[in-house]
Amino acid sequence: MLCQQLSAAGCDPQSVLVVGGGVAGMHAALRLSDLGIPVLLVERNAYLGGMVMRLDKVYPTDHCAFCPTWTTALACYRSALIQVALNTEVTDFSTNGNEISVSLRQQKPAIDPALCLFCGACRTSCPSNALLERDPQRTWDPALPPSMSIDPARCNGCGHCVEACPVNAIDLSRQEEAITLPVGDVLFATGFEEPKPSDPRQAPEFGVGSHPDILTAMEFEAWYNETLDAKELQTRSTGRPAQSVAFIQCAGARDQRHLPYCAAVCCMHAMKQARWLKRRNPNIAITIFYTDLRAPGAGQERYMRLGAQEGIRLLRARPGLVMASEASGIGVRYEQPESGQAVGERFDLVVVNGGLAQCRLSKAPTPPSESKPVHRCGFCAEPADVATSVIQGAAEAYAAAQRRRARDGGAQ
Amino acid sequence: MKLCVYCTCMGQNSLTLSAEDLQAALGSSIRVVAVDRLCAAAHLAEVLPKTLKEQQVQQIVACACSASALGQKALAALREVFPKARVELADIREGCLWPAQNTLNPYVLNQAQALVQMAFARLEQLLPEKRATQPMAQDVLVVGAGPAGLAASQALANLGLSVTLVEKRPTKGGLVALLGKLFPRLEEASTLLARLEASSVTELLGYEVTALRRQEGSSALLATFQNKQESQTKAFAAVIFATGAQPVLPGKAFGWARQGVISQMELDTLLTAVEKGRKNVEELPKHAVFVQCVEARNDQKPYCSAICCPTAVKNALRLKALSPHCEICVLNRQMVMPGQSLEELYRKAMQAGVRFLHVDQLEQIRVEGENAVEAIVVTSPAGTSELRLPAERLVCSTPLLPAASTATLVQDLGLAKDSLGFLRGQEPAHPLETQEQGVFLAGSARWPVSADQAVEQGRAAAILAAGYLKSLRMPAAEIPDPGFAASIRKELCSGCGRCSEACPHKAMELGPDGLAQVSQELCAACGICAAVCPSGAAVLPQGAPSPREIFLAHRSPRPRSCS
Repeated sequence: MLCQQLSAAGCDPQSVLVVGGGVAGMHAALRLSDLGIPVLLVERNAYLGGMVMRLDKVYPTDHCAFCPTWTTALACYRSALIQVALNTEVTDFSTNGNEISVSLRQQKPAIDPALCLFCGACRTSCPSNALLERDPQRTWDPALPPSMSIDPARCNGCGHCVEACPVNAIDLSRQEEAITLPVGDVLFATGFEEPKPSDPRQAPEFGVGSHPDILTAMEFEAWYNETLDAKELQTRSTGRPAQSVAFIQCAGARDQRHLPYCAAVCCMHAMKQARWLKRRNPNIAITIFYTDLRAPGAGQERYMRLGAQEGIRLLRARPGLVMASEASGIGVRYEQPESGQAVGERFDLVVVNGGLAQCRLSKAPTPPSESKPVHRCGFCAEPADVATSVIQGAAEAYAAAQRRRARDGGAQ
Repeated sequence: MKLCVYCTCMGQNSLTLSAEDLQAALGSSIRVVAVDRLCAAAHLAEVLPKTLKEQQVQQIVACACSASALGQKALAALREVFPKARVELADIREGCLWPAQNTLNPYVLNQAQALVQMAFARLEQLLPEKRATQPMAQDVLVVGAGPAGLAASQALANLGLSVTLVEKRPTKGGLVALLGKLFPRLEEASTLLARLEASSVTELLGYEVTALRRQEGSSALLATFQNKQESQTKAFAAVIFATGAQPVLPGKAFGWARQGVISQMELDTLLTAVEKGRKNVEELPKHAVFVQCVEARNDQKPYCSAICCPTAVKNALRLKALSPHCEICVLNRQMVMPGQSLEELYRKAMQAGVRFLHVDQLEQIRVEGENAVEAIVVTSPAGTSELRLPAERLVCSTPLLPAASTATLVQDLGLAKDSLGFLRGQEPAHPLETQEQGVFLAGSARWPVSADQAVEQGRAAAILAAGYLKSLRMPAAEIPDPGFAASIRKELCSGCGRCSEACPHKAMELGPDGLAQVSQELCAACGICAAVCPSGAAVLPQGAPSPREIFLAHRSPRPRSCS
C-alpha cells in the first residue's frame, strides 16, 4: 500500500509518469489504473492533494475540501497499479526514439513516514523538544498513518532520537536519492503556485510579503480556517480583532507586465472566503475590489448573489497601491468607480487575490516538443477549478491510454 | 479456533493491560498470544508459538492500533501467515489503552475484552460464500450526438466497448453542427465534428429514448428507444447523458422587438453563409451592437451561462475579419472570459477595435427606429446622460437551458438536477458521476460548456464508464464484499413493504407469505431497510447482537461515588 520508496524494479517501464499529485494528477492516475495501466505518480510535496488539500472549503457547495481529496489520495495509495513517490521532483528527461527515461530526485524526510510507528519514543528522548506530532509544514500525508516529524528550527542534531527509535526510522542527514527510470508516457499536472514576492510574476504594488497583514489568498486560507480554535479573525501583526477586510482581485493577473491571463478561480474563491468570514464574524466589514466578477460555473452566480445579499461590498475598481500605513492598518488606493477620483481607504487585513501562476516546468523539463508534445491537465494546462481539473485529468488519461494503444499496435 | 494476537506496542500497551489478564477475561475459547510490534512484523512467523501453525486457526483478531494508524499493516502481516483465516481488527491502543494510560483503571480490562469480542462477533457475521454474479449487459448507451456524445462514443469504441449512440434528430453534431466556427481557436465546427467520427459505433439517428429504468434484480439499465416506425428495448450496463442544451430565444422584453434584433445563433448563421461565399459581404451590418446577459443573470434566471461572452467575442472577431470597417460595440455587465485562451481572445477583440461598454442594467438600453433598428441608446445609471450608438443590428446574447425532452428520463432514474433543470453530478470531486451507479454526465446537459470542453467531458465520462464496467466484470473474489446482509425477523414483520420501496439495491421484496425477504446477492448492507422499518423487523446484521449490545452486555456496572 505505501510504496513510497522509489525503485527501478518496482516501476513498470511502460508505466505513465504523472508529474504532480494534485486533484488533476490523482484523478488521471486513478482513471489510468482503472484501465489496468501502471502509473508512476510523482509529487514534490510530502502529501498528495496539492493545493486543494490546503483549502478549507470549496465553492460553490461549501463542502469541506479535505474529505473528497483525502479519499482520492487514499485510493491512489491503495491502488496496486499506482506507485506514489512523495517528496520527489523531476530533474531531467531524455528521449531516445520512443523510449523516455526520467531522472527523479527523492528528498527523504528526517523521519520516514513509512516506517514510523508513532510511538513517541523519539519525543521522550529529545532534549530540545523538537519532535512534533502535528507539524504545520505537512511533512507527512494526512491520508497515511500518522508520523512524527522534526522541527528543524529546534533540532540540535544530537542524535538521541536516532538511538531511541525502535524501528530505525530516523535519519538526520536527510539523504537525497537520485534515480533514473524508463517510462512509457509523461503527463503533466503540476498545477499552480503563488509567486514569491521576488518573482517577476508577482506585482510589487500590492505589497505581498512586505507586511504580515497583507496576505495572499492561500495564506489567508491557512490563517483563517475551520480548524482554528479562535473563530474571531485577528490581524497577524498585532493579534487584535480585525474590523475590516479587503479582497483585491486580479492583483497581478490580466496584466501584461505580470500574468496576462485570468486565473479563473479567484473571484469565486474570494467570495467563498468572504462569505465564510461573514458567517463566522457578522460584524466585519468586507470589501471585494474586482475587475470583472466571473462566476460562470454551475451554482456560482447564485453564490455571488447570496454574498452580495449578505452585505459583502462589491466594488468595481483596480487598486493601484497597497501599503502599510504609518498609523495602523493597510492603506489601499483606488479610483472610485462613480467619480473617477483617486481615494484611499484603510483596512485591517488585505487579501491579495489572483496572480496564480501556472507552475513552471523548469524543475520538470519538457521532453522535446516536435515528436512528443507535452501533455498537460489541470491548472498547468489552463486555469481550472476542482471539478474542471478532475474532468481534464480523466480526459488526459484517456488520451494517454490511446497513445499507449497506438504504441502497442505499432510494435506488433 | 479463535486467536487473539495482542500487540504490546513495544511494551506501551502491556503497561496498562497484560496479556494474561486479557486471556483470563476472554476465557478459554479464545487464545491470546502476545506479540511485539505486529505492524512491523516481518518476523511474525518466527515470533508466534510453533504449535499454532499446525492447529487450524479460523478466526484471528488483531488486538492492535486503529485502522487509520497501523492496523491495516497488522492485518496484512497476519493474513500473510494465516492465509485461510478471517482477520479482524480491534482498536485496543487509541480506542482503549491510550485514553486510560498510566492510570489503574479497572474498566480498561472490561473495555478491551468487549472490543475483542465485538471483533469476533463481526467475524462470525461474515458471509461464508462470496456473492453470486449474474450475466451482465456489457453495452454502453450514449444519449445525444452532440460533441460530448460523439466524443464519448468514439472514446468508448476505442477502449474496446460496444456503444449505442441514440440521437433524437436525424443528424449528428448537436448545436455545434449549426455553428460555423468555434471559440477559442476559431476552429471550423465541421473540422471538430470530422475528428469525432468513429466507425464501430451503433448509431441510431432519429430515435428518441422514451424510457430508462433499472432492470429488476440487476444493476443494468433498460432503455426503450423509438422512432416513428418501431420501438426497441435493450439492457445497458452504463449510460452517458450527453443530451446538451438549447438556446433561449430573445423575448419581447424591454420593447426591443423589431426587425434587426437577432440572436447570436442567427448572427452565426449569417457569418457562416458569408464565410462560405453563399452570401455577399454587403449583407453584413456596418454597425452592430451586441447585448450580453439577455434572459440571464436576472431574478428569474439567476445564472451565467458561461458560453455567451466567448460566443459574442468570437462573432465580433469574425464580423471584423469579414468587414473590417464594421463598428461593433458589446454592451456587457462583465465580460466573463476566464482562463488563458479566452482572455487572449478578449484581448485580440479589443486590439481589433471592438468596443466593450459596461452597462449594469438592461433597462438602460433603448432601441430607436420605427420598424427596423436604427440606433441603440444607452442611458447612464443616474439617467443624466445618454450615449447614442447607430446600429442596423442588435445582437442579443442569450443563455443555454437544458432540453425539456429529457425531463421524463431524468425523473425516471431519479437523477438530481438544479432549479434550472441542469443535471448535477457529485460536485466537486466527481462532477461527471451521478448518484445513480453507472449513469454519467457529459457536456451542456450538466452545465453550458464550449465544444472543446464538451469533447473533454465526453472522453472523461467514457473512461469513467469503462472503469465502471471493468469493476462489474471483476471476478467475484475481488468484489469488495460488505460481509453482512440484512435480515427480517418474520415475527415482527407486518408486510408493509416500506423496506422494498426504500431499498436502493432492490434486495428487499415481499415474499409469497406477504412478509419481506432479503436477496443475499443484492444486499449491500446499507441499513436503509432497518432505518425505515416501523416495527424493527429489518435488522443488520442477521439477528445477532450488535457490537453495541455485546459491549453493553459485558460492561460492568457503573461505579458509584463514595459520597
